[in-house]
Amino acid sequence: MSGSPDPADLSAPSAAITLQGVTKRFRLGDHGASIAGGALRLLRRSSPADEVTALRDIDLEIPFGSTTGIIGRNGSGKTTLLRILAGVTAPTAGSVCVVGRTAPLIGVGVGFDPELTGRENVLVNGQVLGMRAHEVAERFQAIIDFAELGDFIEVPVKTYSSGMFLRLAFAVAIHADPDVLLVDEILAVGDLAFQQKCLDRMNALQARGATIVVVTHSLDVVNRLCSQAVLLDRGAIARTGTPEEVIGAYHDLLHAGDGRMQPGSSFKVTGDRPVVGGATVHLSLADESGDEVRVLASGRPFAVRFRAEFAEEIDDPVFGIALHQPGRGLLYVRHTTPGDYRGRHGPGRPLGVQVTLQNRLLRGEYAVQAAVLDPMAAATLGASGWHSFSVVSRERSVGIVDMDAVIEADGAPVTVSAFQRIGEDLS
Amino acid sequence: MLLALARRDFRARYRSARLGLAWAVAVPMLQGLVFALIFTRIVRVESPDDFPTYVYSGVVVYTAWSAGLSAGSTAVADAAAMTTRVYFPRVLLGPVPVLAAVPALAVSLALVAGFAAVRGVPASPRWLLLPVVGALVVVLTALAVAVTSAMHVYLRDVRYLVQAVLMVSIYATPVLYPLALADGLIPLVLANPPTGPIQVSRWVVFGHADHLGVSVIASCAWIVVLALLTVTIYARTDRILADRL
Repeated sequence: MSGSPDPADLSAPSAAITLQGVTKRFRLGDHGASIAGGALRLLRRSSPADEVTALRDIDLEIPFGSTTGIIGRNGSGKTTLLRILAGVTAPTAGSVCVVGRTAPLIGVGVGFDPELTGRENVLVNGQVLGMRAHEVAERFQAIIDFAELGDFIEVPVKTYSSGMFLRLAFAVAIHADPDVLLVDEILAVGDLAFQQKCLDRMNALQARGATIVVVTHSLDVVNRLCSQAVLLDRGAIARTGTPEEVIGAYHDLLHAGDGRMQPGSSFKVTGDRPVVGGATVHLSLADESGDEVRVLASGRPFAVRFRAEFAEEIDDPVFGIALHQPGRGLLYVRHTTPGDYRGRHGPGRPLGVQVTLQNRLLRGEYAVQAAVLDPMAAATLGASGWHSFSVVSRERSVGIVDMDAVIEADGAPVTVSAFQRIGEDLS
Repeated sequence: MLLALARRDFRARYRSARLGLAWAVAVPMLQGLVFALIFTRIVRVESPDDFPTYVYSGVVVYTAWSAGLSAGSTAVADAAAMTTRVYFPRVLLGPVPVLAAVPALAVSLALVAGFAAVRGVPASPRWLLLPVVGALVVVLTALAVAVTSAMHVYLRDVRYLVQAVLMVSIYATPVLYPLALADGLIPLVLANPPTGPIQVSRWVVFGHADHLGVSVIASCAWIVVLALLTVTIYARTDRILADRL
């Protein structure tokens, strides 16, 4: 894709992708414009209020051979950025320079016609994705092998299951053998085995030195696949750095100025007990070395710290924490019982609590909450907002909880305990 | 790439129709027959040539123009799923249906020669120039459609405007009457883009055509103007067309 590098810079480009001051504005409200609307617009001139800025002043360098994850909330400009990299749309201002052949995986099956067979669609789609006709022909066998379609390749794609369609579409795109692969939320679809296959294929591309840019909501993909990450917020770059740093910044962003961002109903810690108020609770997470973090390693101990401030005098409060996974529900609750803790608190005498936990969670997104109850555990005095965090791991286990499998075959060990291994790593 | 897209369009178009390509050939033939019946049996048009052949050759050329223009004008907007996800020169999209219709046009032009022979029009080596007529109308239509398909993205009225113009303008071409009969309207008819290829087709079939020279010049002028418009429009909008989809 062409761009206009700085005319003063005649040397070879130092990065696979260089963005300088990239800004993208869209005009609102005249999709499907009519002649009348067009005439009106000419009379009025377009006012700035009709425009929305999707990206503002993006400076970004993506080195050769790196894999970069772009994360951010919905509407933060991730997809617009990817489309600009793909050359689908030009920036309103600024320059874009992408070195080498790009293959966009922005929605798969581009140009597939339902009436045509898989074979015919591969031939067209491959060329739409930038391959030459003979290249498509050479890679045809590899493509249908990857897609696992067998004889279905000769049947119109309208008869395919959605999984088959997706496999074929992804197979074509991934065989375009790009220098720069642009991926938009592709891995959210397909079954686990196919997702793994796609990740393997992307790893192979990485090994060959391809530059990959991934837009995703899956922080796990960013963590596993990417060497660096970019956080976009309202069209601007909020943070670049290692995946862990950027994921942490993303969690902070999700909660900035909003301590009550709560998945599901609030106050899970205290069940149905009425909320009477009187306490405010602030919560943070710390790793083994005591640093405040938003990304935790599976298998390593961590601490939930919270601090409750009281509006009135209170003796012997009851308190606890709850863990929650968005979409799955409550995972774990632990609180004290009346009489466990003896202490007097009130204005100016806050309660500080540290709960140390073994992290048996598998990789994913979780949230934690803390609450304080009256001495009889009959009413909730106050609770923190849900505090989200990510768990990362290198384990192949899938699910929520690490059951620490030990696999033996014919009496001989095949795998060892993950916890045991972590213990050895530490020593 | 243009060829791959056109081939896809051609295959997809006739995939589930049993008679396939025959439809694209039969429709203009049927229309030519109806016009010929009306204008020889009901309204008697004075024509120096065999009138059914005259009408059929005109209908074939005009159909290539009108079908290409109406199918192609919405092509860029219809391909939104593709254009918003992958970059390729957007100018290709409009001409794709025009190219996909080339096989049908080729068969129809061959049938014009066959029909002329059956009707007793003296055969001539000029008939070998029928592919030139085809090429002329395809180039003209492809360029016109490149312009209208880009305009349609910005003004969705274009598709209806094109339909309306096509419906009216068949009467402003010498498809149904000898050009000489148009009297004072002759300049208007000559300015109509498809008039050029239609008159060339008459010259190829019969060896003479009214205002042949002016028709050819008008066609060439249209090709130059449309080519310039195409270049200007796509130079400005190629990379931002997708924003409007």
